[in-house]
Amino acid sequence: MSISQLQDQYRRGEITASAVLDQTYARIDSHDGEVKSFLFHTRALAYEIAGEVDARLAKGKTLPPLAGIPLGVKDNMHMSGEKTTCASKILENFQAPYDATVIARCKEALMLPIGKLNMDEFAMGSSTENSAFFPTRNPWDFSRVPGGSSGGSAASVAAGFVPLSLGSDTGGSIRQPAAFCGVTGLKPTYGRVSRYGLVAFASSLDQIGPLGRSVHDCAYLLDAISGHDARDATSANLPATQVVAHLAMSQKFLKIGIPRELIGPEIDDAVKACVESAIRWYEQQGHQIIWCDMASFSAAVATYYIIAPAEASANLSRYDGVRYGLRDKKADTLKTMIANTRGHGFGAEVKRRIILGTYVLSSGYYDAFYAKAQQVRSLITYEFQQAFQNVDVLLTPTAPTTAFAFGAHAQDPLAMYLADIATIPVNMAGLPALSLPCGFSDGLPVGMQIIGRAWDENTVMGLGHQFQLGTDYHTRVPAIGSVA
Amino acid sequence: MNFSTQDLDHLANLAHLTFSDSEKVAFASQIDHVLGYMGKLSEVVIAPSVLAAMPVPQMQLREDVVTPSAIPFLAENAPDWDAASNAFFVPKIS
Repeated sequence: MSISQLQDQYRRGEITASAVLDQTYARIDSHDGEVKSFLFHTRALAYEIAGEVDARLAKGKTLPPLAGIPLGVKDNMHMSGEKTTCASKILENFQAPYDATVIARCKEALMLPIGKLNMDEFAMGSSTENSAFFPTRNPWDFSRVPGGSSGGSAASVAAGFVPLSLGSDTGGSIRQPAAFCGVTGLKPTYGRVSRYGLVAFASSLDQIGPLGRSVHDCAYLLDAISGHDARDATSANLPATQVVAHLAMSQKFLKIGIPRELIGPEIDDAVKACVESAIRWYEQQGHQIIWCDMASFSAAVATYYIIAPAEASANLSRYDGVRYGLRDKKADTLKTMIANTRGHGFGAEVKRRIILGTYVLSSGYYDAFYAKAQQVRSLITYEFQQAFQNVDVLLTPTAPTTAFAFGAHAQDPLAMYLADIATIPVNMAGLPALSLPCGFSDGLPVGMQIIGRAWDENTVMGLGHQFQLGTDYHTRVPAIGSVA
Repeated sequence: MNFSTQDLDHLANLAHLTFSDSEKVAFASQIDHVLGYMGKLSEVVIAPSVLAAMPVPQMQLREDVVTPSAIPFLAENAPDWDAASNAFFVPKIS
């Protein structure tokens, strides 16, 4: 059910928030045993807020647009009094001492927080196989991954457990799982949404964003969580977005750029065919298609896997067993305790990235790796700036393939990293980008990505919304509950 | 690249990490593979004018105002907390 439909039902007094919660948890209890999207539920908090919504409804008070709408939250954002595990053993019992700004804003909006969602440990991965607890399954095919790292966020929406969820995106972690699970996901401009209370992975790249069944639904959540926050020094001094209002306006004719580098041989033919079909659709609506070259994209993956691990190695140094989290209690010296705690508490991918980050920042390698990567990051940003002098948006596949099978890249981390080829350049430049369904291949969803100028979520989401008004890919749902 | 298990030991010491012997062999090989791929960055030529054109990101710092600390939450999450002295206990330094 869309947000608009739920809002209508509330307005007409046909439902209560408590009843919506009953239905939500009943569906989760019946089917999340198969999908495994939630790590745990936050029922007490959800029913407390639902009670407030129902009380206000009973008094005939006007409610905020998202009041009574269920929300899933990736488990790397703090919700006061609940656990924040980051799907890691090292934080298995950590209790969040405060609300992340996005959570505070969702509570203010009277949304119903259903629970915390599975993810790759510390958001490092593209499949949710790196969760220390269990992998999440793709609702379209349980033998395949949901993508990652926000795999639980995408799978919970695709399975119809929640209409909206929050994810975080450092190199594609909202958009790639959205593509794999056939839902819509937005990585906003860096600085658009406060990162206060988001557990840091790579601070210059991390950004929180919405996932939902449609662009329209995601716009509601973006409007609720965006806007300046003094507690995040990188939060832009801008008011909250008003994308929902913008979507009601008629769509202008745009110049749509297609980077040749992302429609080449590294993209599966079936994915390419769906994206090319979407390009033709836009052309038929009167938009102008312009092919362009983004040569630096070929170096984007290498750049990202230097910068992100470098930042991660610093950010994750705080997990030392001293102040919170896991502690190795057998060690008899401080140094051994810290090393053993981290050695046992972190999973393989996290350890791999800490080592990579430590290597590229270490004496003798800094200039060749980290300093060079920062320069290439500038080049990528520059190429985007040049491209946006000629086009309004760029359109690409979100991922080179559809959802892959569990274990497909287990022994080859580099192959997994290369799956981020289309999403990584966007984080490098801090731009907004949307992934939305644009077709199916062998029963699996295909996603396309629309990239915009910094702060231009209106154009990006407007174009995505136009596609969803004219197509039905986003309305298709997997047969959870009726087909194994 | 030629990343060895000795290199891994050195970095593990810097990063305060431990690895089992079997992990070491697999990790060294995988990291060697990844670092080899990173080598493609050396092929990228960047004009100085591009670097000069890039703005330096600005951060907005808030006023340095003292706010209440979260001692009760520290106690709740600490692996070894001494309430009498409001302190974390750790093993001896060496």
